[in-house]
Amino acid sequence: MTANYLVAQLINGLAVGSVYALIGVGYSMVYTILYLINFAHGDVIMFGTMAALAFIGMGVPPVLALILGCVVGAALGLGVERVAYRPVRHAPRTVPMISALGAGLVISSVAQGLWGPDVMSFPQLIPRGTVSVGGFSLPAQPLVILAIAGVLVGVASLLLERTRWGRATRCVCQDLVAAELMGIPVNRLIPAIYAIGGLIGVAGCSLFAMYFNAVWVQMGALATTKAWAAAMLGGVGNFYGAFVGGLLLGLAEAAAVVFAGSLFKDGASLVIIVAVLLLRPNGLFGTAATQRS
Amino acid sequence: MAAAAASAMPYVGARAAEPLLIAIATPLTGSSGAMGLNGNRGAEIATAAINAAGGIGGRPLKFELFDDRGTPQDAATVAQRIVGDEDKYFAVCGHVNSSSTLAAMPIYADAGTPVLCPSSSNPSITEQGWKNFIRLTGRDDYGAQEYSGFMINNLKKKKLGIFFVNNDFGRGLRNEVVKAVNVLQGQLVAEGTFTPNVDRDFQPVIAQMKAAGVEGVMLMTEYTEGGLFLAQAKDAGLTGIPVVGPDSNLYDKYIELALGNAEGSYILAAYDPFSDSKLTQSFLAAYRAKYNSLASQVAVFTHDILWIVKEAVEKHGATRATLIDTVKAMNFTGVGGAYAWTAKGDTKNRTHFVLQVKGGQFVSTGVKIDETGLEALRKA
Repeated sequence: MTANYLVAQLINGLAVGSVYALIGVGYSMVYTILYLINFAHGDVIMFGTMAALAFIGMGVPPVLALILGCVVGAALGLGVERVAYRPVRHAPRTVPMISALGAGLVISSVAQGLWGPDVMSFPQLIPRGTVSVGGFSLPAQPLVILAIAGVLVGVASLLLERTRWGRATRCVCQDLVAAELMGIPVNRLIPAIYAIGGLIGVAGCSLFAMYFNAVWVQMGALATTKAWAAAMLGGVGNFYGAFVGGLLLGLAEAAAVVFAGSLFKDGASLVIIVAVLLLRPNGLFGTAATQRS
Repeated sequence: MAAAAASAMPYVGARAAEPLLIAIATPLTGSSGAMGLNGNRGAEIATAAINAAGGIGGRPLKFELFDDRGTPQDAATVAQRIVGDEDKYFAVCGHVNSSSTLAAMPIYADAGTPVLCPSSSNPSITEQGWKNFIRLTGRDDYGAQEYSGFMINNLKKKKLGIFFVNNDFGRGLRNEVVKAVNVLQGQLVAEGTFTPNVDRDFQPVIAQMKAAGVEGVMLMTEYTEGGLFLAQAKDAGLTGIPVVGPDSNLYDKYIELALGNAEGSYILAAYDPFSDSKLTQSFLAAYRAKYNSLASQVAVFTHDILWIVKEAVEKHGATRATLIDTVKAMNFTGVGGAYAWTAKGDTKNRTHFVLQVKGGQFVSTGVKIDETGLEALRKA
């Protein structure tokens, strides 16, 4: 096992992990505030990515098309909140979960109707190939993806830490009822969280599509498993937790391949997650979720 | 009234007769969706031609599509629906993926429904003793010997990597490739697999192959992941070595998804799209004119199955109950070449044709596969 091989696997793991992280942030934020797994999230971001691809096909400049795709994701996030969450907000928690699942199915059916069932190729906006770094010959694209994901998470966390809106969001996370009593406009914040989740998620999903050169209708399902697992590993309720969880999941997958073979990639990485959650039920960086019942 | 009657003239006899219904069970969605689409297209061309020639035994031919999504769970559901209608369907043409066929066959066997399978190649399918089954594609044990023989004997590459889909098709192929490579004194130095429809990250496997210094890659996949694997291989600098795969990669999508890196790769096909046969060329031309793509193995075999049913009924008087036994005794020449069957329902005396991607399309190489050393595996 050469050093170059290990470093290349490390980079791959980190790149995939950072994509899981971007997708997982949307789950994590909604879960933190509403204790609700937004099962429509995967399909929302799939749809945004498909839309970006369609815009590129229409001749829109790629970067603009990606931004438009993110906007579509944000708008769909808002739509899901309005149609599938708000009307059932005070119902037992399983109800909004089922309605979100339904919304996701509708979105994926519409996507299949519009774009068909085939796997499509995604334009390679980030050059593929290898670069030489410090004597190692490394794949170029994962390095760029890692950097973009890092920047996106950085910007999002600045928003959350430094702006009034971000502080209000964190208040809502800590105590929804008290925040509402203090005059925080909860009904504007919750949709905003759905929208931000959709926006960042589409960015992550587009990077994913570029990296694997594939866009397909069921790609949302992958997000629901991998990204949710990443968010759990990092600890839901902690923005950085989802990010670090994503990176760790990516690394765990790469490690599983190196040491156990590709057959065990998913199995071994999920075993690691289960082991972590047995020791730390709130995830690595999770604040005790029991503080609010 | 008179005009309507006149336009229906060719079917005057058939109009009174119920249509003869064939159930086509195939993946229309999911990562092998293009295979089902191809099957559907092959069936459409065949049905139009058969009905223009008077249908089957005076009855117009009709087919209905059932989407098994390429998964065993859905295949079993589809099979239940088909047999649930008692003998509404004269026969089943399906399924495509070996896992689907393995899951659905017990249901058809219980119901006594005849099954003519275009393209499930896992060897175990015809080893279960099912009496209601024949297939048109070759078996993977034989296929694996051919792929390995070509890589090791023709291309002289011995240090090999294998990438296979983790389903009955891929695992079966992988096991047979291991045997054949051993017999031919090659070496499998790297091995990777993936869950179809789910995994898209092949970088770890590619890095492994690169680290092991493979000289050639056995690409035992379906077209989606085959193409994606090659695109990602380019990324990691695993290029310039021969790649050999079965005709589940013989789709335009394979070339498209590989982002240029399918160039030079070999496909060993169970039918010859470049055969001189007039039947083959006129079908392929009609197919290209209508759908602007190469007819895949599934399209060709689905097409041929419908004509086989016609011949079995018209020339040999087959009924639903005797269809499979009748076909096993037939010699049939179709678009995919000449077919004859063993008692188990496998085809016999068929070989593979070596195609290559050149200039972004599939071309014939005309190369004969060197089978030296494979005799040991073929005695049984």
